[in-house]
Amino acid sequence: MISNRLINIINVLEKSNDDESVKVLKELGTESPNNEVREYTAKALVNKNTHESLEIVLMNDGKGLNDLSPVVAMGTINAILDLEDKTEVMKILDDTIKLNSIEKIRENARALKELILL
Amino acid sequence: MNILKIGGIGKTHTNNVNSGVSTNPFAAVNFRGNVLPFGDVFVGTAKKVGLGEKIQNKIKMISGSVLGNVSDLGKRVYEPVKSFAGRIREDLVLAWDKTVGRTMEVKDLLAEKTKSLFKGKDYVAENTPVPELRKMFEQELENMGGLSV
Repeated sequence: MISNRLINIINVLEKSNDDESVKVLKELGTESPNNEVREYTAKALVNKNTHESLEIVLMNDGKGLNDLSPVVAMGTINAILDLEDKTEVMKILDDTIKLNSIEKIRENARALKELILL
Repeated sequence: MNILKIGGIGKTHTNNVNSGVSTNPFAAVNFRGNVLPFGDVFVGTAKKVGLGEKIQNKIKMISGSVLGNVSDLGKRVYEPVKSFAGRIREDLVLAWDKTVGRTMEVKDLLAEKTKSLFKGKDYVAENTPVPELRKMFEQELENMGGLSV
């Protein structure tokens, strides 16, 4: 079970304006074998709402939207739906649908785009 | 014709002049080409400037130049006063900014301390540097058992 301290660390990394914070979340959070850590990390990356952070959770196999754990994937989808400004998300989803080489990732991006446009 | 011989009046006149017993104070003054012994009695048409007046003139001249200098001095003094006032104002603004900044720092510090008191050991300050957050993150993953799911 994830500790409150780790949740707080992830939250502080989410609010940080330092580009290095995205790197820490990617290297330590999304690579963690713990589902909860990946779930919190994916939400933090979505809430940062930058091109770099969104690319990690939308375009990479096994991370965020494409995570093997449905809890992590659903958590990422909910965080994206909660975003006020979805401009960057839509841009990345369009790029993913057009350019990504993995069919499963393109399908997930298409489904999420449909969900947002509903 | 000799007047003296005609009548006594002329004779009497001559006696009065030569006797030296006249009560007239100007009787001894000779107006006929001689130098008057009381020259300072008469005031000449060309006004002579006395030493006192010269000093007065000098004083007037000096005071005039002093007045001129004083009026210049006013201008010269005004500029430094103006710049001094400007500098003081800038210093005050700077001091005010510093004070407010320091107050804000203390306020933030107190807020952070208060938060940490209420949230205990799990609290992580928002201004913690990212490298330190990385170490803390790694430590927490280690505490969780590393690869445990």
